[in-house]
Amino acid sequence: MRVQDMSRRITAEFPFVERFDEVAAGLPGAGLHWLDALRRDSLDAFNRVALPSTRVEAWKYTNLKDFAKTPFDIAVSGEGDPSVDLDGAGAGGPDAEHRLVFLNGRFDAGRSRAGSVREGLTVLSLGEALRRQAQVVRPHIERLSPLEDEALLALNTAFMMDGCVVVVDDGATVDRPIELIFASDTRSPTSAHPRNLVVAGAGSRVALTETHVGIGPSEYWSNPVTEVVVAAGASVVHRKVQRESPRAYHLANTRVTLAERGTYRAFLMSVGAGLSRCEIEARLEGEGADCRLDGIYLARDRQHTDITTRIVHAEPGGSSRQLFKGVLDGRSHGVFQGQISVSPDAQRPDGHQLNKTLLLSNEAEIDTKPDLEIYADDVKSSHGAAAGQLDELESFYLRSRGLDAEEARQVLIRAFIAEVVEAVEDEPFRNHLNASIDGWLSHEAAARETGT
Amino acid sequence: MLEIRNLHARVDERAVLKGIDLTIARGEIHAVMGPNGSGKSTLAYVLAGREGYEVTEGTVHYQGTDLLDLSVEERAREGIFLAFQYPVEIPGVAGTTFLRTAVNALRKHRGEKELDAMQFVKFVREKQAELNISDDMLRRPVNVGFSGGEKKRNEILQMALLEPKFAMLDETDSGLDIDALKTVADGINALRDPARSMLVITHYQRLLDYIVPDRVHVLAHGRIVKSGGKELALELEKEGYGALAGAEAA
Repeated sequence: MRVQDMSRRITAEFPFVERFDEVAAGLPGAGLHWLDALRRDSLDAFNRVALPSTRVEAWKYTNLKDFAKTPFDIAVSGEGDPSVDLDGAGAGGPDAEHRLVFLNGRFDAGRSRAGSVREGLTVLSLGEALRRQAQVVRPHIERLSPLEDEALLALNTAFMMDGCVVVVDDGATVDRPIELIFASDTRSPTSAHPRNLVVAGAGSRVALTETHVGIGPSEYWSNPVTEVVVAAGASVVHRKVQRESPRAYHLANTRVTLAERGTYRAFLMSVGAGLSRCEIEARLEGEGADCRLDGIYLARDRQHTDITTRIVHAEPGGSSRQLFKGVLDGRSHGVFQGQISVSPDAQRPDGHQLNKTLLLSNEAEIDTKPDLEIYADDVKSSHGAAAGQLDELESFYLRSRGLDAEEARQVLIRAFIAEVVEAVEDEPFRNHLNASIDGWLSHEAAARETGT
Repeated sequence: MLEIRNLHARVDERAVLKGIDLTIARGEIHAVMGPNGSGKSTLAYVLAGREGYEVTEGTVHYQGTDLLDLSVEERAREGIFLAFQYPVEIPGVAGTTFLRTAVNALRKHRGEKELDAMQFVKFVREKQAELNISDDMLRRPVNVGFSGGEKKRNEILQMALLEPKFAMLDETDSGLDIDALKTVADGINALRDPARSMLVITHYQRLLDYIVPDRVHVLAHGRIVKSGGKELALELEKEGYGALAGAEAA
């Protein structure tokens, strides 16, 4: 084993990590030998690599130093106010056909509509899936074993709590989106480690909507990992809204593999949390696979929002498109890192990436880093990054027609992100997004008025 | 209606207006002509209240109030309108949304009920037809990808919807062929009203064949160097600005 350079590491002493044996005994699938062993190995991996410092290239702009000092424990089952209303938390409302709610990382059966195994579709909580269909889950969970530098993935694997398992059979079509709500309501620094698995069989179609919210007064940490497997010719739409409470740390990992002609469409809106990082890796492992990632990030005050994507073109003829737009106010800090990697065998790939940021204050900051690693010939690829401020002339034009300065400002901010929002095809979700954006804008306007 | 006295203004530390005196009565149409760089557009921007156009001396009274005290949007709500020489493209904002927001901002100011999307469509339809503006044009983002003629027609549509008391038309004829010019001029003439004053800014006399002014002023080096009736425009067309502008500079 090579010696670790400790300047690249941050050592954290999270109480729950110290109490692994006791905690693990109460987690889903406890007693399954393969899972117990995997949890133990992952804990060892975490203890070996520790958290990355900003000396690690992939974490250059996101500093976990303060985060590492927070004495996080693990959420205790049953914590959280049972009367909390989560009906409006997601896009589909309480009547969504499939709705899985997780409170502090634990499956909340009372607020969920799930547990169905019917023709063509399985929707279960991870705990239930491990009880009933462990053989389906096991190869996927084992395959996603963490590599070096993936401390958070390792920790999720060691402490994976609950999450959803969606399996769509070959050729099946799921009409309505499957809705996942991850809520946190804690009184002391707590961590949750949800683990989701989505397997779309050959030629199947499914859509998922994930919402992350926080209610309680305390700091908390959400560390979700979602694995998506897109089989040949399958189509997966995956939408996510991150609107955690301002005191939250949201560090999420999404890992996607696409077989030939598989398509994956992701939409991400990151608006909450004090510090967030959403990492998405998509591996185009079959010929003609097609991946599209779109997103919006909105931040103010001292929020830190990081979107890190990695698209691997491993086979010929794949295409990928990325469009991320952000609006930063106050002293917020945005990070966009987009890596496109093309293997020598992946001829004729088509990879495009664009990141634009609107800076509303002089103290807001964006670090954007496109990163193209291309080892093939005959590549169509492009990337672009731009940051700018609201246009004085556009604002004057609107005001000369009677809009006040604040209205003009809101119209122009909306216009800036409209391109991304309008590309969302699902109307209930688009309305949900627009409501979140309205909320953000009016809060922003109020904050400007009081000068905070 | 509007009374400008000894108006001086600068842009980027450069003095552009150097003592303008101009009085426009209710219902009158005045034309301001002059060579490029004489300060015509600056005068329009100063009256509309654009940031960075700093008044250093003089006064402007509009319907008895001090115009220079008002913000851009307050001026718009009090009935001041500027048809831009270069209408601004705003990607991401649909034309109808923009027009409705503007109309409602003014209605709100007047204490009238705001129009919903359906009511607005009805309200805009007639005026839209007069100016030969298609529904498709209004669905597109404001001015994005519009031809020169479409942009100018869109400005006049806004004027028709906002019903200003004092409208400034900044080189509304520039970049238009003769047919487009006639459509735009007809649109403007339809808005002539005993209660509405206009300031038509133009480099060429030809617009004034269609929109006949009550008074014509020649602007050079930031000052009005000559004023007269509509025949002054023809005179200028024959003799050019050279003599007037030169005489003033000397």
